[in-house]
This record gives sequence, C-alpha cells and structure tokens, in this order.
Amino acid sequence: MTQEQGGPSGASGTGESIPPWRRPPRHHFPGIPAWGAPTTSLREEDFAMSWLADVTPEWAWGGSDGSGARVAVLDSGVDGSHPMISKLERSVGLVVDDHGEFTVADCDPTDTAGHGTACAGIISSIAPGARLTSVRVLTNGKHGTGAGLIAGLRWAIDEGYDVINMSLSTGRPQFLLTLHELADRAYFRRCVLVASAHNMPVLSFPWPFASVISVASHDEPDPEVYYYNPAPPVDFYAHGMRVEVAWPGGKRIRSTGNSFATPHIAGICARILGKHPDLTPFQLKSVLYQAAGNVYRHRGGDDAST
Amino acid sequence: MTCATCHAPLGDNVRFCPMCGSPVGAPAAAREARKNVAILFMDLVGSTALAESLDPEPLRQIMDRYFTVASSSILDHGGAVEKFIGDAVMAVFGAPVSHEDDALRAVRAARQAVAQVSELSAGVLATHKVTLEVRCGVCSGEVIAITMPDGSFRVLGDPANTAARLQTAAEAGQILVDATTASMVRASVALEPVAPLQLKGKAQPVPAWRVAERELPLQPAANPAAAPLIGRDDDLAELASAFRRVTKRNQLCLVTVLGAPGIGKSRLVRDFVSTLRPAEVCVLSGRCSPYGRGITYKPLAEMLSANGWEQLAASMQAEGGEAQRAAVSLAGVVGDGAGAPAEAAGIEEISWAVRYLLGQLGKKGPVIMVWEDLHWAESTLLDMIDDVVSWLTDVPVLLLCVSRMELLDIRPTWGGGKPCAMALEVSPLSRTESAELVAAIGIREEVSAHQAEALCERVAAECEGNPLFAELMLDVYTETPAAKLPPTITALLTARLDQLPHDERHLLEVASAIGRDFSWPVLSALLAADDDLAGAAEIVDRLVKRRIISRIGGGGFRFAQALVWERAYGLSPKSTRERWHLLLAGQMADLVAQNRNGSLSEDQSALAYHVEAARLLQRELRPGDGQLPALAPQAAEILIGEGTKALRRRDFPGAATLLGRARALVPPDDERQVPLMLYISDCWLGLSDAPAALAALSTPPGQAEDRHEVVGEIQRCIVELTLGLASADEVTARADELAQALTDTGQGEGGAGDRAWCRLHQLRAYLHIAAEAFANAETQFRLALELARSLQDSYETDRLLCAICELAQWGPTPVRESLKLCAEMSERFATNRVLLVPVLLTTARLAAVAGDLSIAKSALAAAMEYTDDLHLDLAEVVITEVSGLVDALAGDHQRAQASYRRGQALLLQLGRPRDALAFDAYAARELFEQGDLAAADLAARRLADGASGAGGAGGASGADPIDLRTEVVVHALRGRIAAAMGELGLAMDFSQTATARSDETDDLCLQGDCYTDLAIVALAADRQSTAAQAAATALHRYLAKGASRLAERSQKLIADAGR
Repeated sequence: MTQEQGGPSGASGTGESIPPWRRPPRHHFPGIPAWGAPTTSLREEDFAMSWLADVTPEWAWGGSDGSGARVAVLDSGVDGSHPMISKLERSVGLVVDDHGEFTVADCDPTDTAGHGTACAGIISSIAPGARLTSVRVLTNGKHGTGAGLIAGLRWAIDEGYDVINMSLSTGRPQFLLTLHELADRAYFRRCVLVASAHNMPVLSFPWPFASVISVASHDEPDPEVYYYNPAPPVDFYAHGMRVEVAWPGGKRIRSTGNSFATPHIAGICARILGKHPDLTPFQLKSVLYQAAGNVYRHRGGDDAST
Repeated sequence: MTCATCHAPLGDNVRFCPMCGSPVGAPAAAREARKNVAILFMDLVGSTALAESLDPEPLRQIMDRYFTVASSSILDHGGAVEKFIGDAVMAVFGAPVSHEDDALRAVRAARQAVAQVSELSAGVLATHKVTLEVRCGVCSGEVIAITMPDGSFRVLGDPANTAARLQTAAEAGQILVDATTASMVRASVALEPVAPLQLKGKAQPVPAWRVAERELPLQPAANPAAAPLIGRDDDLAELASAFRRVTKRNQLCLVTVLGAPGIGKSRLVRDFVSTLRPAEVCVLSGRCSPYGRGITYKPLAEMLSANGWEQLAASMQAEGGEAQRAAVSLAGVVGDGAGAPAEAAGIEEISWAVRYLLGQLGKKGPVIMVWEDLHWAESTLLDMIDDVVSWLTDVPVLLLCVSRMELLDIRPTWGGGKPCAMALEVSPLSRTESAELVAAIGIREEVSAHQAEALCERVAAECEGNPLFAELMLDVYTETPAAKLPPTITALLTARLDQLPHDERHLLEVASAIGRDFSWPVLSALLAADDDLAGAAEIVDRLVKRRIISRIGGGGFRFAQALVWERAYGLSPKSTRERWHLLLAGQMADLVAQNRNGSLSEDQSALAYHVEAARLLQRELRPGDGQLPALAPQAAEILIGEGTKALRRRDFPGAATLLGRARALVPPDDERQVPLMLYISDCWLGLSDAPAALAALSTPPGQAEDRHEVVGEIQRCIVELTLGLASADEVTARADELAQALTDTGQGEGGAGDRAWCRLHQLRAYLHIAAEAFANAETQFRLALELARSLQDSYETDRLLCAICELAQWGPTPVRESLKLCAEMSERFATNRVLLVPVLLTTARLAAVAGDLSIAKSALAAAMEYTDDLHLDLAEVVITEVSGLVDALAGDHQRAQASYRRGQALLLQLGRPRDALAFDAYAARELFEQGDLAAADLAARRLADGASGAGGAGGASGADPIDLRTEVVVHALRGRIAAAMGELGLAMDFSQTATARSDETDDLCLQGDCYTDLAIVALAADRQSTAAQAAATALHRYLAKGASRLAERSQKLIADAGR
C-alpha cells in the first residue's frame, strides 16, 4: 500500500473505475435514513487517499472532553434539568420585535418537543466538558420557520460559537441564498456548522453546502465510530440508528435519524477544538477525515476510537 | 400621578379620573400595539331629512333597527364596533384579534349592511313613507390599537380617517375601498374603479374602487402547490420522445397512458403538457365521464369549446367547401352555438370532420389531443379515435389517451396493429420514490428536524407505490396514528372521509350528488335548500387546502380524484341522495328554462341525470313505488332528443344507451314506449347484435300491453329475418298471423295499430326483397311510409325514403320517377353524406341505364369522394358495381372487369363470400365481352358448380349458396358462351332457363338483359322468330323501366332478327 496514491486494494485501485466522488448520487438507502450507509452489511468501500502523517485520533482528541469549546444547539430548545445534559450555559429563543422580525432573547431552559434535548444529550455524552447553548429555532414542535432559522443561525455565528449543531434543514429554495451566505460567513469566522443530512432522499439546506460538515447515519451501535464518506455531498457517517437519547422529563428513549448522528460529530468537533482551539474549519474537517474509522484503519491505526 | 387612559393629572385618593371617568389604579395600564387592520365606516344617508320627516317615536324605532342591522353585520363577520358617531358606525376588523382575511371580512360586512338596510328600507317605506340607505368606506392599513384594561379598545391612524373620507365620497348604497383593501379582496369581490378621489385633508387624489353588486364566483385560496412529480422521469421521456417523433417526422402518434386509479396518470400527462410552450403546440383536452352515459361526443365538444370554437367555426364557415362542411358537422357536436345543422351529421361525418380539423391545425403546428378517463368513453368515441389513428398518419398530432386498465377489457385490441401506437403503463413508485414522495407531501413546514418519522416510513412502505394511497394514508395516520388500514382504495377513502370534520364531510356528500365537477351557485343553492349554507364558502376553502377538491376553470370545483367523488357519494343515505337529486333536477330545470350561458345541453343532460339518479334510488328504496319523479317527462324528452340525434348519426351504441335511459323514465302505458322499444332494437340490429336487439323487445316492467307484444313480435321477425336467424318462409307465415292478430284485436290500419302496421309493412317489404320481388317491396315500403308520415315520425320516414330510393335500382319503378326521388333525397341529406352516398349511387346507376353517362359519372365521382372521406366499406363495394356498369355501358369492358374484381375482393375481405359471388359473375361476363371465351367459360363453370354444390365453401347449412340474381346472370352468360362455342342447343337451354328464372324477379333490367342474350343466342341458332320475340320482350322491359340506353340495343337486335 502506498502512502500517497491509491486505496489499499479493490475496485478503486484499478484506475479505470469512476471514483466515489464522481459517481451519480445513490438512490437507494436500504433500511436506514437517506444518505446514510449500512456499514454493518456493506463491505467498506476502498478509495484513493492521501494523509498527513501526524494526525491520529489520539492526536486529534486524546485527553480532551471538549472543555473550552462552546457549542450552540439550533433546535427545539434543551431541557436543562435533564441528567444527561451537562453544562447548559444559556438558553435563548426567538421573539418578534417591533418591526415584526425575529430576534433572539434569553428564555427558560425547556424543550417541549424533545428533539433539542436529545441532540444536546448526545453532545454532552461525547464532550462532557463543552459549554452548551440552546438556541430554540424550532417553535412549532419539531418544525419552524425559515426566518426563525436564519435569525437563530445568524445570532449564533455572531456570538462566535465554535460549533453549531443543526439537526434540521429547510427545503424551501427561498432561503437558499441567505443560508449559503451565512454558512460561508461562519466558515470564515471559524465557526463550524455541523449539519444533518435529510432522512428522505430530498434536497434541502444547509447540509449539502461544502462549507459545512454534513452527517448521515451508519447502522452500527457504537457511538464512538464514525466514517468518512468519499461520495459527497455527505461528509461523515455516525451513529444514528436506535440511539439512546435524552428526552424531556428526565426520560431516555431510543430514536433514529440523521438528527442523532450529527451531534456525535459535533461532540467530536468540540473535543478536537478543546484540544486544538486554533484549527480552522477546513483544518478541522481534515482532522476528522484523518481520524475517521475507514481512513485511519488503512494507515495501520486501530479503530477510530479514543 | 396621571390617569392611565387620558393622562390627565389625578389628585390623591380619587377612585375615578375626573376627566375621563376611568378607574384609577387599575392593575394594568392600557396596552398599545401596532396592527394591520381594516376599518369600515358606515353612515346613514340623509339622516337629517329623516329626523325632520318623522315623529321622534317611530324615528327611534327605525334607528334602533338600523343600529341592530349595522352591528350584526359587523359582528357576523368577526369585526368589532369601535364607536358610534351620530348615525355613523366605525368598525375595526383585525383588532383585538387579527384574521388573515380582515379586509374581505370588512367588505362582506359592508355588503351585508347595505343589503339589510335596503330590506329594512323596503319595510319602513310601506309603513312610514321614508327610505333608508347607507354608504360605506373601507380602508386597510396600520394603526395603533389601544386596548384598555377593561377590554375596550380604540384605534388611531390614517386608515381610520381615510375610511371616513371614503364613506363620505360614496353614493347611497355604495361601498368604496382604498387601494390596499382592493388588492386584498380582488380575488373574491368584483370591483369597479372610480376616478381618484380628492379627499379632504389629503394632498394627492386617492385611488378608490367601488364594490360591484354582482358576486364573483367563489374564489378561495388557489389550489395548494402540487407535490413534485416523482419517479416519472422515464415516462416523461417516453412522452417527450413520442412528441418529438410527431413533430420531427410529421407523423400522428397514439400514446395510451394506462394505470391503476391514483397512480398518477393524469398528473403525468399534465406535467408533460406543461413542459411544452403554449405557443408551439395546440393542446386540446376532453374528459369522459360516467355521468350522462350515451353522450358520445361530450369530450370532443369540451375540447372544441375550450379552444375558441366560435371563432374557429366562423372562419371555417367563411372558407366554404370542405372547411364549411367540417364546421357544420362539428357545430352539431358542440351543440349550443349557432350554425348547428338541422340534420345531425353522422358518425362517419364527424370522424371525417375531426380528421379534417386536425389536418388543418396540424399545418400550423403540432397538436396534442388529451382524452382523459377513456375507460368511460362510449364505444363510438373509441371508434372515432381509432379511425383518426388509422387514417390520419402524416399530420403532427399526438393523441394522449389516459385510462384505467379497464380500457383493455372493453377494447382488448386498443391501439393494436398500428405502427404509431404505444401504450405507457404508469407503474407503482419504487420504495425510495415513495419515500421521496411522502417526504415531499408530508413535510409542509419550512424547517424540520431530522428525527426519522416513523409515520413517513410507514406510509412509504404501505402505500404500494401509489401516490394517491400515500397522500390518503399520510392524512389518515397523521390524525389517527393507531389506525390500521388495508391498502385498498375503499378502506383508505372511507377512513379519510370519516376523519374529516363533520361539516366538511357533509359538504362533500352534498357536492358529490351534483357530480365530480360542481359549481358554486348549484352547490350553494342545494345547501341553502337544506339550510346548510352558513360557512360553506369557508368549508370549500378548507377542502381545497386539503386537496380533496380543486378549483377548475370557470369558477367551478372538481373532486381531485374520481374515486373520492364516488366514495363520498356512497356515504350519505339513499333517501337523502334521492331528495338531493330531485332538488338538483329542479334547479337544472330552472337553468334550462332560463337557457343562460350557452350551457343548455349540459344543463339538460344534468337534469336528465338527476331525475334518473333519483328514480334509480327510488326503485332501490321502494321497489313497489311506480310513481315517476315530477320532472321525469322533461328528462325523458331530453334523453329522447339526444338519443334520436345519436340514432340519426348512426351512433348506435350511444343511441341505444340514451333511448334505454329515456325508456326507464317513460310510464309503462305511455305511447312513447313503443317507438322507443323499436328504436332501441333498431340500434342493436344496426350493430348486428341479435341478442340485444331481441332483448329490447321484452315487455317493459309494469303492465304488459297487447299492443307492445304484437309490435314486438313484428320487430322480432324483422331482426330474425335480417340477421338470418329465421327463414323467409317461416317469417312469412308469422307475418300473416301477426296481421291477423292485429285485425282481431281491433287494431286495423288507420288507428291505434298504425305503429304496428308501419313495421309490418316494412317486414313484408323485406320478405319481398328476399324474393327479388321489388315492386311488391316498394308497395309495402310506401304503405309504411304513409303511416310513418301520419305518425309524424321523421326517423321512420327518412329510413323508408332511403329504402324506397335504393330499391328503385332493382324494382320496376320507371327511371325518371326514381331520379326525381333521388334528387329530393340528395337535398335532404346534404349534410349527412353517409345517407347521401347511397342516393348518389342510385342516381348514377339509373342515369347510366337511361343513357345519361355524364350525370352517372359525376354522381359516381361525388360518391367516390365521400366514401373515401368517410371510409364507408360497403359503399365502396357498391361503387365498384356501379362503375363497372357505367364502364360496361361505355364499352370499356376491361375496366369494368377490374372494377368488379375489386368489389369481389372487398366483399371477401369483409367476410361476405356469398355476396362476392355476384361480382365474380359480373367479372366473368366482362371477360366474355372482351372476347376471352376460355377464361369466361372457366369462371362461369366454377360459379355453376358452386351453385349446384351442396353448400358454400364455409359449409353453411341448407341456405342456397348462390342467390337467384347471380344464378340468372350465370345462366345467361353460359348461354352466350355456349353459343359462341357453337354448342347452340345447350346455349338455347341456358338462355331460356335464364329468362324463365329472371321472370321470377321483377327487376326489369335484369329481365331485359336475359331476353337480349336469348335473342342473340337464338339468332346464332338461326331461330329468327324466337330471337325477334325475345328482343321485343327485352325492348318492352327496358322501356317499362325507362332504361332507354339499353332499349337501343334491343331495337338493333329486332332489326337484325327481321333481316
């Protein structure tokens, strides 16, 4: 196996075949949310890769619990009293100002829909030292408005959060341009957007943007395992099937969806940034790539676990 | 400390503000909010004069009533009275609570106030000799709404002032609105612009609109955006490639889009059509429906009238010639407009006109004809489409037929054998496509979390790839997650409809009684009859948002799915439906009486439909109840009218259906029962469907009448004779018995039995024709004709005239007389070329034998052109016969022979080998005339062997395989051949047999021909006296017929024999 060129073996090594990142998008997602990969049953795909010698999982997040990183959860709110939630620093929500526009104001740490609490709980479980802020943009159960999402996202970027977890999307094209601008703005301000791919094979935003880190599910039960996806637009696969999540009222339930794969990656980002606070988003994505299970393993590493 | 309300300074310990009286120290201060509202200002016109002319006591009573009316109008529409200023009222819509349609509410409230004050005025005019009128102004915009702690409120802002000014500028009874209000209500309310108003206190003139009195058809929110089309890329590509073929190769193409209900056939076609630029393609759409069975050409009429028919028709009329002919035929289909011919064009004529029209449209650019729900098409319409596909090949036309799979049960060969036809089966969506669809229709929010939705996945898995199922399941499961549904359409639909709020479901049930399409006026009138009208407009709106119904052109509505309509109809009790149908029939009868909007024929067929539906329900509910609905006579008349039209078009399946429907609405003892029974039987006879033709003759339910039975028996004889189910001898005997029965039961001619006698004479005529006794046949037809005329039955009259006219070719009636009849008939059938062609052919034959070959040739040419246009198979055969005759008479025996051979081949193709034998004989005769003795002899022997053989090639039973006429022709020919070969004794035998047999017929020309041949043979055998006698007989027969050209030959022979 060479360091610089070609995968370890297999089809992609023949040079004749189309590399995964140039293939047409997949249309079949057997038994898992869309864009995800059934890594338990499918053979791990080979692909050509280049790597940076010093970056390993251990280097990336070894010894870090996310302390020092600030994470915003753009969601339905977070139940601050739930035992699975650590360090909920602040809760904000949307209010309508005098001009009929959304602004952000502090609110009680509650969550009637449960979705935000579930996501925050996952981040806490991966990066218990990270400081969490709940930004409630889903005001109608697990749904919200485009204007609300944009107001919340803009606020979080301006507030300088290191990681913003977005287990949601909008399919409305009228928000595309603004979301795109905000994602670029975040990227340049070193604010990492970790966005969940849609569960259905439909197009929505912001997850397919190149400036965000997008996440879908694999079907393995291990919360520490994640894979790089060589066939965009999804960047990484993480634990998203039957995930044990926090639920309001101190409960725990098992739930499925790319929503829950995303905070796993957000948590890892928090740990990496806690240890290497000056990484830029593109560096961070490279580190995630280097340390991903299916990449690190090929350079003689063990598994992608800590 | 200051007052919270008026900010006046307050002293210590006061409990009420000395300035405004507000309580002091109320827990909360007044709240202020900016709000978008609509302000309504209303004032009584001339109230000062009113006060002057009335005593204060009645004035107070009247003013009280006025304020009550004004307040209730406002409250009814969710507004709040802000204050009364003298006689004026200021109302706010949108504060304290806003609604999305506050402006519309304000305008509707104003309208109600104007109407109710005017009613009030009518009342007080009688008692107090005064009139009351209000004027209103409505303005929308932003105000400050100040809500007092006690819940009362007031608003401040420019809209309030402008509304007051608009009110002042309005005339009595008028409502003026500002630009903002106008833009918000325009979709629902008719507005008329007025000149910009110079309002007090305004620098610029203010644009304003007057609310018109007429109601716009209800315009609820537009149909919600459809879900994206998913998983149909391949199907769209197929349609696109078919369309490319059409345009590039200038070729007609038939694409039949087949699939299960709800699978998305119509959607596919709609999306395909929407990808084309309207300027580059002409799209015509028509929809078949189970409603109004038998109205064959309704979808065609729909296509035409939706595409500027009037204008097109006018230009075609002006063009003259073929264009005019097509315009007239199609006008008969569209029906309502002017220019519809008195004589309905026949089905072949309509088919030709459609081909002509497509040909013309195709010259300008590609045409797409969309036929929706073709499984409900009448078979005549299917024939027409088939005909277009068969004959119109080099025109850029794409026929898009959309149908459930049932079409293939009705027409297993649909589209088969046509190179340009293809079927596109719309298949279920794959699991992934289903998921995509569910995601698209299931997520109506702008932003959503990505927790996997068990609901969506469950629906995607259970919907069987059917988009309609998916939509229904999603709706059902969203509201009742625990529901378990088998994926059958009935279960899904029932569950979905059950879940709707009661008012919505009820409205659907009511609407379903009207039909799949319904209009607001009809629906609202029906609801009003049940006192259910309140809130209906809003309910309709909700149903549109739910996509259960959708808005269609012309302010109407349609059940988005035919299945939903059918299911909704089945939900309400039959007795209720019966009542609704009767109410609807009444409404339709009013519309028919008013004859508005040029939708007469539609209203008429709706009337018939509702009466029928009520009658059917009545039968199911109360089988013993023979009382027909009150409007049954009118409905029956409409159906008889349509049915007769179809019959005259020779649209037999359509006519049989319509007349059958009419028959069920005519009382059993009504005199129209008999003709209906006969017509229906005629229709099936026209289609050679013996069982149906005989079934129509069974006595209708109710009391059996002798009269029915005898007429029925006579028709039974006609059917059996015509279709070869009974022998002529058998039928003759029965005909005599039936005549006796009629006489015995006192139904002699010239009275109650006329209808029966009319048919009996026809039966006898057919029997005579079978025996080649044409003179007798004509006599019988003429007797029947007289009766038909006295019965004023134009259908029978025309039929009989046609029969008499055609008979003239064979019977003894002199040519001149017959030609006169032909001329009359040509004029009568000018618009119906199917009937015209036989008349032309008769004319050609008669003119030819009379020696006028130029008339014969021009009549023949016209007949050929029309036959070609209309694709009349049998007429083509007759044409070969007549042209053979004309050519033979002109001495071109080679051409004559070729012509007869073509006729023979055509008959064999049509599966009529027995009739083909005659042509074989004529052709053999022409061989002989050309001098090819050997070939002629061979052919004649073959024919003779066939005649004496035991049965025809098909092994047909005892029936003579060769008819009398052919036998005569063959014998005469063999006589001539034998003579030419020198076998003179044999020749005399043949020729004498021929003359003897020909005397059994009364075809004078045939007889003349045989005697001529005998004379020639006798001359050859040196039997001059026999020859002279035969020639004289021939001459006599020819002259009797008026066949002067043929007579010339005989005269020459007489001279030869005398020499």
